[in-house]
Amino acid sequence: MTATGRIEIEDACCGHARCYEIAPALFDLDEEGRAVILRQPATASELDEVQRAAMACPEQAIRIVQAD
Amino acid sequence: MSVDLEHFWPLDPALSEDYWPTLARMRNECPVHRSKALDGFWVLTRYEDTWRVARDYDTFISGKGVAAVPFEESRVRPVPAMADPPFHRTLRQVLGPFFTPKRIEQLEPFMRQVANELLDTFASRGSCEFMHHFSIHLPARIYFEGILGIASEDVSIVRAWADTMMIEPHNSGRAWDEFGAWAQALCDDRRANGPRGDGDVIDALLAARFEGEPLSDYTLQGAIVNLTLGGLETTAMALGTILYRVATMPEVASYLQAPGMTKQKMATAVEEFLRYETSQPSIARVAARDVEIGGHLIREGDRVVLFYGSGNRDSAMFSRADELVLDRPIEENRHMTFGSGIHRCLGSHLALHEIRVALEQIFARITDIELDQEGVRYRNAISRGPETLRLKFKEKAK
Repeated sequence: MTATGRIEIEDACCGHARCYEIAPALFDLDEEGRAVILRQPATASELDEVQRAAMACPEQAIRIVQAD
Repeated sequence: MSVDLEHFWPLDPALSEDYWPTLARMRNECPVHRSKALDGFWVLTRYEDTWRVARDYDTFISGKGVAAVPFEESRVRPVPAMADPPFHRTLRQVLGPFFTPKRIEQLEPFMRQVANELLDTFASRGSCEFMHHFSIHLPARIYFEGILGIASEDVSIVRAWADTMMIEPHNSGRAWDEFGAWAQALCDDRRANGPRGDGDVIDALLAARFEGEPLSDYTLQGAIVNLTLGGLETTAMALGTILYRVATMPEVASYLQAPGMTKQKMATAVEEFLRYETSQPSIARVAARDVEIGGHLIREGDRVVLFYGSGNRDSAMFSRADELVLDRPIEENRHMTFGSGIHRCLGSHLALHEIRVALEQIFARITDIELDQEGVRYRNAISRGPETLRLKFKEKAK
């Protein structure tokens, strides 16, 4: 089975950058250091990274929306 | 002597003597506590409450004071710490780009050089007083030379102001004024000589606009003082606290010096050290309207002290909360040491980076680190760390 989650980042991001540390292929940082999505997870292991990033986020600003 | 909770205040010497048991007692018995000290204020000690309040910047504002024990009045106010939106937003937009992980990473070779130069002064002697030979100087030199781009010759005078603010915040008006005047001189010098051209922090502040106007002199002073305090104080205390643990907990020392240690594992361990003992354990807000927390009515104008250091030991949030678990996964370590919400510590990436690099260099140069004094006293101040830390060790063969 392929990855079925879509990442969304809420306004609550305050630049802790833990997502970028955990999954640099999927998250980047803007000029000010806030998270931006580079691309959506494509494999099960990338989805796992995204889930870890979401758990690690001190602002709880990463949402993983399940695809239908 | 147990702490008089009815008159709880963060600088009570009795609290310093019985620190963690008192905070545990408060989390269990009175997590939303009203103290009668300092004209009355609230103390929140549970993770969940501190987290919610820190993020609710509309209800809990910073512009009326953020120190756990209020600073004496001065026209110099630390901003962005003591700013609220929308002004806060502007300041963070100006300053944020200088402190992103990508920018900070570029300083790594310089951080390593500074750590080595400091180690050069005592490694072969086999002993040092770690606070004054290393801890205080490492973040100061990195901040002065690496971030502000000025010589670090003023470190000792700036340290004296910072100490006054931390140890006697209620008696620090003159220190704020003098620190502000020092910052003003940096700005005046830059104005007289023009921008440095490499787009540094001071140039960015001088070029900044809020609602079309340049920042006032007091804002410029407050911003430079805020950055400088942040750059010097908390990381120095954190490094001292970490080395104290290294010197007195053999399992910690051996874990950090094990052959399989990697940059990643060290970064994870640093996060856990910062959770376990927070060098800036508390911060304050003022309620902008009546609001309820845990069944208590907080009235508009009430001061609320958020005890992040206590939230970091909350067993409702962390498993084995009172243990130092150096391989605690980052996804189970959402500590509050850098705060949360829009006031998240601007220098968090600088601090994480320089602490990791410092530890890597220390363990590359010395080993068998032991305490060389009878017990360690933490200084009783609004930032927390050892007063002195005499260590003995062996220099490693080169």
